[in-house]
Amino acid sequence: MRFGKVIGKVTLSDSDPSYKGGRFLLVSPMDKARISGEDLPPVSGLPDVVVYDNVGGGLGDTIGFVEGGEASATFDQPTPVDAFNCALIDEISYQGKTHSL
Amino acid sequence: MIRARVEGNVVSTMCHETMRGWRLLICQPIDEEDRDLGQPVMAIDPQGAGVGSTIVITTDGKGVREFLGIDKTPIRNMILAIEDE
Amino acid sequence: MFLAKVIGHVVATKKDDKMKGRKLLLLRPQLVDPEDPTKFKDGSNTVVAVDGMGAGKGEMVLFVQGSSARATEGMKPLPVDCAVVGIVDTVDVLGTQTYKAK
Repeated sequence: MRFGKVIGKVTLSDSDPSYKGGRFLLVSPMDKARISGEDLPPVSGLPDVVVYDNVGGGLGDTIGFVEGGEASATFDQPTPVDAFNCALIDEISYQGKTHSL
Repeated sequence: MIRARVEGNVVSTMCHETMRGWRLLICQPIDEEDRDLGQPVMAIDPQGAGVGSTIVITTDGKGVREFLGIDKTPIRNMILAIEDE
Repeated sequence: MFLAKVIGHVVATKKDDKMKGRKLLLLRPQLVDPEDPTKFKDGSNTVVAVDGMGAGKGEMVLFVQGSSARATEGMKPLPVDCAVVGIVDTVDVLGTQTYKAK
């Protein structure tokens, strides 16, 4: 599960019928500096991922997301998702320092 | 599996139900010379690893699903072992 | 999933039986430019994706990869690892709408 910063969102005019009520967050993967809380621009430069969200993430949130086959594991029907928002992160304790989000 | 160094932990109240109650550790993957390999990942920890310890993490969801006894979980990173000092 | 622009399609007469009648599109991933987040820059790779949504050249789409590609509507029997799952209407980055479909 990787750290990501929600930098935006995507809406679709037409989409696979199995997407029910999910939203699509545009997420920039976080590097060590950003995870430790350094004041850096939210777009990290690592390729941004579109993440399926039914937890309720919004712009500026730090999330934990999984990629690959496990991203579709929580759905009752086979759903074409390869990136899934698992957690909204409230607090990070990293290399001795703790900061709330 | 991969080797990693425990560098911290996270707190999350709004998370997938299968993650609730688990310690979530921030793990930095490392190579055989303890050099960083890529970005840190978050793993659930049934072993009680402390910050600074070197651990072995599985990256395969099937093993995690069997361990938890749950089919519908997105977790694929779990601490399997803590290296001796 | 990733955002991508449709840059063309693949014409293949000789192919796996299960792929007959299927459209194969050429996609160029679109990444947010860290220097100017209101713009996208091209990813360095070109991806071939099977498409059941009828996307046209120049449109922005959402695509999925790996085993999940076969979970796309109608794709279960196909030996594919990449599929178009949506036609993009809008993209918002840091509070600004950076893409709107025509």
